[in-house]
Amino acid sequence: MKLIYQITSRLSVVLLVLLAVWGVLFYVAMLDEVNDEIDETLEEYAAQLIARSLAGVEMPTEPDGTNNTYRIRPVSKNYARENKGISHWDMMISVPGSYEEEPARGLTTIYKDDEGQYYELMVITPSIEKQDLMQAILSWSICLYVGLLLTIILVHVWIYYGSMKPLHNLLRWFDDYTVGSRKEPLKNDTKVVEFSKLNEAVLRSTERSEQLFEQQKQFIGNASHELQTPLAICQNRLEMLLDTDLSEEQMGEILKTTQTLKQISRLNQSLLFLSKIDNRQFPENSLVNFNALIKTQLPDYSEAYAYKNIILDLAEPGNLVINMNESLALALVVNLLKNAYVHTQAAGRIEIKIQDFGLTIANNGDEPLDKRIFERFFQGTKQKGSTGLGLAIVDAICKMYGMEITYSFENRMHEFFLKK
Amino acid sequence: MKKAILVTLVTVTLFSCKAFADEDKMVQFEALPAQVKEFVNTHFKGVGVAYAKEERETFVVTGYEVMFTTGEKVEFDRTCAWEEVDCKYSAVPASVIPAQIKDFVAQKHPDAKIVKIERDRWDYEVELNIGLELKFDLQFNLIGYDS
Amino acid sequence: MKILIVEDEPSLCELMQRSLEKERYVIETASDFVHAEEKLGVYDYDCVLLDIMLPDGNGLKLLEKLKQMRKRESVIIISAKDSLDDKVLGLDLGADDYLAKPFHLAELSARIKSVLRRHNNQGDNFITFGNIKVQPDKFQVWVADRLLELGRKEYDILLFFMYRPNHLINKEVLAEAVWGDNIDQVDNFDFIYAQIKNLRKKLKDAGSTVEIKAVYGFGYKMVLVG
Repeated sequence: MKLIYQITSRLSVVLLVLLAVWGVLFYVAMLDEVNDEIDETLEEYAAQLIARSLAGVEMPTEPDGTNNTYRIRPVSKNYARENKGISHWDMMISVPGSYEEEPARGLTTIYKDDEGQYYELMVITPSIEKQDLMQAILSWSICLYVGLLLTIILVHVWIYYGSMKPLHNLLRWFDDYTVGSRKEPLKNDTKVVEFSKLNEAVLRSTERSEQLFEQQKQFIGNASHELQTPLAICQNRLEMLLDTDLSEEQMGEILKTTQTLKQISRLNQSLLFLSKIDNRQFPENSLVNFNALIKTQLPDYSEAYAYKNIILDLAEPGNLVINMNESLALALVVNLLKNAYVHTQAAGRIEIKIQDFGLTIANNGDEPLDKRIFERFFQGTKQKGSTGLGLAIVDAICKMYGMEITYSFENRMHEFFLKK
Repeated sequence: MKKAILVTLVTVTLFSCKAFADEDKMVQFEALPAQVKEFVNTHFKGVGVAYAKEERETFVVTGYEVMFTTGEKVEFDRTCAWEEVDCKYSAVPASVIPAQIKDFVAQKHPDAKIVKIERDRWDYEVELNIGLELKFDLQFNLIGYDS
Repeated sequence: MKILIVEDEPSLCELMQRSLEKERYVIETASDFVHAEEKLGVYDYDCVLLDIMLPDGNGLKLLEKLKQMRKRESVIIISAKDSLDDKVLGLDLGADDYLAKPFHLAELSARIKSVLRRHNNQGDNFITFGNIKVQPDKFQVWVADRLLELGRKEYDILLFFMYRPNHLINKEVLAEAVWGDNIDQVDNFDFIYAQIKNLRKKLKDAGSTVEIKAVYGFGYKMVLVG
């Protein structure tokens, strides 16, 4: 989930709650205020009426145009004592000429005249529809909520993208970053302390990775170099032994040992080769025609693997010409071809298709291979004499030239596709 | 979040308290502050009290109102100083009216009676029974007429 | 023929010395830059086997020195670094060949032979064994002075044996030498057998005194008959 979505959704929920509470409070406050206002008017009116009645001035007749109604009645002293104070209440009154009832607010108050006679004055005035008020407040709250939310979200998104720009820049840069490949330097100036610290941290960590990667490459290279001389010694001592008179059994043992040694040295050479590719020690490029290259290699394979009776199907709908180092092109083709020949069962089939934009080499197989086949030393099934580096070399070469090598399994065929 | 809920609860409580505590209260005349009673006894001696009211707003007394059985009405602020004397159907007792205003009215409108006098922080307002309203500043200089 | 081996690894040095002495070369050894420089200053050699990674200096400097001294020694660079740069630089500085570790002793001996031959008799570039004569730059083979027509692979196999007579040649080594490194995972060597069979037949028909002998089914050895 994107951060912006999370913030926005949380904001919406919080705003919904806040605005709901706010709506209730607003309603209560509003109603209170309206009642206060009405009550005040009623009290004023009551005071006027009382003053008039006490002063013996003529009382207004109903209706007087204000829709207010009043009633004065004498009450006993006891009643007055029990009902002292002013009371307000809400009621429904029937409107003359209409069946509907309308809300009204009333007030009763007690006073006494000169003779000590107590009176109760009741004043009623039409008030507002609470239902209407509630609905108005609700709909306005919703309008306000939506408007506020939209505004807040818009402002927020705007501010978010504005302030998070360095973070997104950094993420994009980091996404594209791979250890060991020279990448354009991070350009991400920011005044925000956290982001600049993040920049520094990322740069530091990539530098550390680069260093480690460099050290690792050097170590592999050095280790392989150091192994070459002892390997040569072992191999040559055994070869000298082979030139002496030996029994078949002795010779067999020695030969097996030399084969193992040969495998070690081949492994060593592959590692060196890989580290050389990684170190870009193959600078000279030329236009390599893969059609020709493949056709020079194929006869050797056909001959060497003739015992497998493999059917070879070479199709050349196009010409694949790539600008690259010749030895690397050879290594690329050889490793792919070898891979196909070694892993095809007897009476199997190999299909090679050369197009203008790429090369497809496919061979029979029963099950799809693990996608880690391009990793160093990954071997699905242990193959005699295999270094486990062939496809890693292919991958390294492709990466070096920005080409793409993909594996797929279709119609019981392992298919390697090299895209120019 | 907890804090927000707390704040909301407190606010709701305050609002509802306000809603219920807004009521004015009828009181016995004897229960009014001494200053109010003194004013009444001085200027409306012997006049019966129809009701006495204590005005409140959010638990705080904001003033008092006394209605006499003659239909006259006096309002006091919360310091118990008079705010308004309304004698619409008779006349404001002369003892209440500041001398300067009394003189001014006697001089300018010899036939008129003062039926209502109001004062607040800024000025005095005097209503005459001839349908005129006069405004004075606190130094009793005439500010203007209002009809 | 006198050869100087400049190699800092004593075991490898001894091994090369023993192996080459068997081929009747006179061998001198030097284990570092200073000794090698001394010896080269004093004596003349037909061939120098030079490890360019010496503990007290780069072997390529020795090559420069030799050039400055205007010596005519053939030089074969031996290096653990199978790097193109070193190879190119070494050959530019006048080395005659470049051999990467690990190598087969037979290969070393073949390279020495090839270098010496080129060096000594420029016009007459033949390799002979028994009554077989091969002219590598023309891809021609004579048996008892009669031209023998061979297939491409047959020729390659014969040439490989010609440089390594009397040595046991492992089948796999042969396969890699003739068919290329790519053949390293083959587990059936019938294709070699077929070629060898044809070659043997052609040699025999031509009346060669040389035979390619199978050794216990592990490999082959080219020997003189009788």
